[in-house]
Amino acid sequence: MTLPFLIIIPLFGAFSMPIISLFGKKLKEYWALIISGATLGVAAKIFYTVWKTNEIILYTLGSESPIGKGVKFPIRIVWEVDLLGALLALTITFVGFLAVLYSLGYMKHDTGLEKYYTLILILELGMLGIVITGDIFNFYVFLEIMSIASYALVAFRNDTWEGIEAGIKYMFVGSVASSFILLGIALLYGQYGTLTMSYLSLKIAENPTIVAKVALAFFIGGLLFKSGAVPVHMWLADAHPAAPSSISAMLSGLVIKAGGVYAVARIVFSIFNPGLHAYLKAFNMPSINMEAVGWVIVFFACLTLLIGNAMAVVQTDMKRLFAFSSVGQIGYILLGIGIGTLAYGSRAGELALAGAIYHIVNHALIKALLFFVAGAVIHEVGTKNLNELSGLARKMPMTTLAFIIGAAAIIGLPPLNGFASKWIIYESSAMYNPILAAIAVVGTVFSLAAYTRVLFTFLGRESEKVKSAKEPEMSMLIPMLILVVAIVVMGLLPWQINDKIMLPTARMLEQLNGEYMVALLKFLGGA
Amino acid sequence: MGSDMGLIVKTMARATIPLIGIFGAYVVAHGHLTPGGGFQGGATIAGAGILFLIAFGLNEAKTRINKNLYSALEGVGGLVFLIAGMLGLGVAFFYNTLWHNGPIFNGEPGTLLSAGYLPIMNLAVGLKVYTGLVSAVFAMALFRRWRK
Amino acid sequence: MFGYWDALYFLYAFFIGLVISYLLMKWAEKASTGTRRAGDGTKIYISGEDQDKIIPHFEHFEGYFTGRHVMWGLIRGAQRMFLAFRKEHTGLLTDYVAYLLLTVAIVLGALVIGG
Repeated sequence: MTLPFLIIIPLFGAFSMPIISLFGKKLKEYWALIISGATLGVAAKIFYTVWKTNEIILYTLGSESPIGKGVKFPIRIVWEVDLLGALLALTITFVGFLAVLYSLGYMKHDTGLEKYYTLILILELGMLGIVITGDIFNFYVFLEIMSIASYALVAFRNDTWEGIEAGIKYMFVGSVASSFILLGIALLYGQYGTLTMSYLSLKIAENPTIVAKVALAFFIGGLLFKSGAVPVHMWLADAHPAAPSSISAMLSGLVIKAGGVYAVARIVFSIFNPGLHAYLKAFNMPSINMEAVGWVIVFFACLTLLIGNAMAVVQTDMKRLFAFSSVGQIGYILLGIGIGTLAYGSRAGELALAGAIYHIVNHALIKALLFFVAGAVIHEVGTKNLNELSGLARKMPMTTLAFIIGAAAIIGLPPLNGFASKWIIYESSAMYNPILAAIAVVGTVFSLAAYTRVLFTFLGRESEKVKSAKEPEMSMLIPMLILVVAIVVMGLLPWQINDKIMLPTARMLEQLNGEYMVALLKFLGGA
Repeated sequence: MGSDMGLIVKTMARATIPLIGIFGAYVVAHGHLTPGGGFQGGATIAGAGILFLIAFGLNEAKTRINKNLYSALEGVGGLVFLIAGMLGLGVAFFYNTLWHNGPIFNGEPGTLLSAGYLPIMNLAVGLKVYTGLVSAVFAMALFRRWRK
Repeated sequence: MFGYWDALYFLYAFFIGLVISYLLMKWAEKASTGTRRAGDGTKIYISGEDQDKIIPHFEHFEGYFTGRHVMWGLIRGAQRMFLAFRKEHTGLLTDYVAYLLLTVAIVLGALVIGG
C-alpha cells in the first residue's frame, strides 16, 4: 500500500521544515528536494500500478472497509484513484520536483525560505489530495489547503505592491468561489446524506432532484473560477505574474488543472455520470440533462480560448502574457471536457476527453518551462518588460532554445507534444460540431501572434539592459533542459502515448460500465 | 516608547492569563469527551498569549517569546499528529490501532484514557494551534510599519 | 484514426468560410471599406472604393482608395476588439466578484432551466 505515502511524505516534509531549518541554512533546500523527489517516486509507482492493472485503487482511511458496522452504506473517507488521478499525481510531482530544483538557484537571494519551502510542499500536498480523493468533503479540504497555500505564495514577495495586491484579490475572490463549492457540497449532503463520490452518484441517479442541479451549478461556477476560465480569469492574470517564477510555473501548470479542470471532470463524470443519466432518460425516468451541462462548459470554453489568447497578444509584460496564454489553454481543456460530456459514449467524446487529458499534461510541462524561462530572464536581466528585452538570444542561447521549444509546443507545431493534444481536440470537436473546431483554430491564431512577438523580442537587436546578461546557473538550467527533453520526446511519440495512456485514461474517466461505482460496490456485496 | 498598557490592565492580565491557560488546557485534554478539542483549546490558550502580548507590550513579549522555538514547536505538533495517524498504517492510514489493540488509551469509553489516538492528536493540534496563532499575532505586531 | 479529416475538411472549410464571409460583410458595410449594395442583388464587396472622396493629385483614381480603407478598417477592427477586452480588465476587486457572481448565475440559470 503505497498510496498513503503520497500524502504522508509531503506532509512530513512540510511539518518538519521548521525543525530542519534550525540545523543549517542549506539543509532546508536539500530537504525540500529530497521530499519532493521521494513523492515523485511514490507517484510514479502508483501510476505504474494503476496503468498496469487497469483497475481503480480504493483506499479507506481508518479501516479495512469503507462500509460502516451494521449499516449498508459507506461512512468512511475513501481515496479512489483511477488512471486520471494517478496520471495527474505523476505530473504534479514531476513539475513540483522541478520547481523545487529550480528554486535552489532562483530563490537564493530571498529571505524566509523555510516558509517558502513549507508552503510549496503544502501546495503540492493539496493538489495530490485533490487528485486522489474519492470523498467530496475531503476534496473540499484539500482544495482549501491548496488554495490557501497558493494565496500565501502569490504574496510571497511582500516587498512589492504587486504581489500583495494580487494575493489579496486572489484570496478574497477565491474564498467566495470556495464558499460556492462548499455550498454545493452542503446541498448534496443535505439531500442525499452521503459524501462518498461514487455512492453519491448512485443516490443522485436514484432521485435526481433540483437540489442536485443547483449543487452542480455551484460546483461548476466555483470551479470555473478556480480554473481561470473567462470571464472569471482576471485574478489569474494578476496572481500568476506576481508570484515568484517557480511558483508561477506550479500555479499555471498545476493548480488551475488539479483544482480546476480536473475537479470539473471528476464532478461531471464521477458524480453526475452522463451515461447513467442518458440511460435513465431513455426509460423516461427523472434524470439530469447532461447535455445542458456540456453546453455550459463548451460555452465558457469557447469564450476562454478566444479571449484568453487574444488578451495575450496585447501584453507587454512577459509573465502576464504567459498567464493569459494559460487562460487560453484552459479553454482547450474545457472544450475537450465539454465535448466529452456532450458526445458521451461515442468515438468523438472519448477522443475529446483523451485530448483534454493529454493537453492537461502537455500544458503543465510547457507552461512550467515557459515560466522557468521567464524566471531566468528576470533573474539575469531584472526586467520582464518585453520592450526592454530585445536580443537575448546571443547572451542566453540555452534559455532562448528552451523558450523556442516551449513556444513552438504551446502553439502546436507538429514535432512537439502540444501539436498532438491540440490536434485531437480539434479533431474531436470537428467530429462533434465544426463551428467549435473553427473557434478553436481562431484561438490558436491569436496564440501564435502572441508568441511570435516574444520570439522576435528574443532574436532582435541587443538592447542596453541585455548587454551584461549571461546564462543562469546550473540549478536553473537543468530543470529547463529536462522539460525540453520531455517535450521533445513526448512530441516524437504522440500516437503511442495517446493509445497507451490517454485513451485508457479517458475510458476510465468515462466509466462506460460504471467502474468508479463498482470499485465501491464490491465492498457492499461482501459486507 | 511604551507599548504596554496601564497598571490596571497588567494586574488583571496577571490574574487572568493562568486561568485562561488552564481552561484551554482542560478543553484540549478533554477533547475526546466534551465539546471542543485541540483547535478550540489551542485557540483559547493562544488567547492568553495574545492577552500577554497586548497587556505587556511588544518589547516585553520579545524577551519572553522565542520565535524559532515556537516555529519548531508548531512543526512538532504537526509531526506528532502525523505519527499518531501513521501508527496503524499496517491496516490503513488513520487506523485507530491504540483503541483496538492497546496498550494505552484503550480504557472504558468516557474516561480520560480512552479513544486511542484522539487524545494524542488533540494535544498535538492544541500545541500547533497555540504556537501557530501566537506566532502569527506576534509576526503581525513585529511587522514594520509602512514608511510615510 | 486520423485520416477522416481530409474528407470532411472541404465541407468544413466551406461552411466556416460562409459564416466568416457573412460576418465580414456585415462588418465591412459598417466600417466603410467600400462594401455596399449597388442595385438589385448586386453587392460590391470590400472594394476599397469611396464614392465621395477624391485623393488630391490622384484625381485619375477617382472613387478608388485602393486597399487603404480595407487595411485601416481591419486594423481598427482588431484594435477595437483588443481595447474592449482590455477595458474589461479594470483590476478592481468588486469587478472580479461581480463577474464571479454573474458566471455562477449564468450556470445556475442554464442548469435549472435546461438541466
